[in-house]
Amino acid sequence: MTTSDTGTARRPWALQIIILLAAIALMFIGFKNGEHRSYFQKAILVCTQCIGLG
Amino acid sequence: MHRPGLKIRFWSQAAATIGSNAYLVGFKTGNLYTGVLKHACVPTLNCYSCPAALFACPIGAMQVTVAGAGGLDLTALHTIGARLAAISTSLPLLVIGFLALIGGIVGRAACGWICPFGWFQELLNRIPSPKFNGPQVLKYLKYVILIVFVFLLPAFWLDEYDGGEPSFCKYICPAGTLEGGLPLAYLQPGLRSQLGWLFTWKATLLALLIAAAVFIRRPFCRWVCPLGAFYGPFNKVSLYRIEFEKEGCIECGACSRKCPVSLDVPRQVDQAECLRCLECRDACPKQLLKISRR
Repeated sequence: MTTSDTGTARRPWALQIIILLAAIALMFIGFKNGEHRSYFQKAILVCTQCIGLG
Repeated sequence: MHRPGLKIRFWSQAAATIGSNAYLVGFKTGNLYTGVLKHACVPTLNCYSCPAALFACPIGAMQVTVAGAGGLDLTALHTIGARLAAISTSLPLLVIGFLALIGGIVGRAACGWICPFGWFQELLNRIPSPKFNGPQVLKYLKYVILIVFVFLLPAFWLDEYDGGEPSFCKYICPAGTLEGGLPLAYLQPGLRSQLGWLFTWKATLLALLIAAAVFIRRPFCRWVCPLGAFYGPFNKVSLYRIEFEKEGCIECGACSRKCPVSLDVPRQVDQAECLRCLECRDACPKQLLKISRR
């Protein structure tokens, strides 16, 4: 007996495929929204909150 | 029993730490890297205000998107379509998708194998000292922090210009203090002179965490890290799993003693708290832990 048998039931491949496809779809939508540009704008300047300046 | 896997993990953590912070000239000049790589996030907690950071931090990026949109003002738009459109542009879909992709493939293994701040805590825990487990109930705190400090406060706690701010970075993140605050305060005297109560607060949190990490294994990862809270549930659905064959167990406890987050391995392996570092597998004298496809 394994912990997997006693714990969660085995997940079908369908769920994993749905998760991975949904993840890729979210990335696509986010990229299309230009989120990477906001990350960039934040990341190239000193984040005053991160360093404790406020 | 030791297998080569242990040293592979150490070097994997070291390589990831150096690889994501390879702009070493930043430590000399005090200036941040401003190249194209900062459009992308690493899959671990790594402050983008570290002078050497090459990439963005996913937790910081999440908050920036939510806060930068001026908050999720759902009452301002009346049609469902317009509301959904507003929400979709205010949620960090790119980084959520990226983290879900990583979690969907390897679960929480990124925490165990490539997280610089996790590695930092493991190194601290090597200092000879009595070791403690800490209260297990605190593991739920990181889920509260993920929801409240990464999503709700940046979305709804707005300033006078209707903008939010990255509340986790501002009030909690010790990685930002260690990787960004301390080096920049040292390298930029002008910045150092402006630091006040907030820096004192964050430096105190960092000092407490460092002290705790000597006695408790990876306390930040177990109790505070919102990224760990995000990845944890994916252990149940990722492409592979870690199986433990209970029948052959001689209850020697070797697996639990090696666990970097102090799990009771026979009962808790591969649950949401498991970092999938495989230390338990390598420590088991009976080789009862195995990786298998789900």
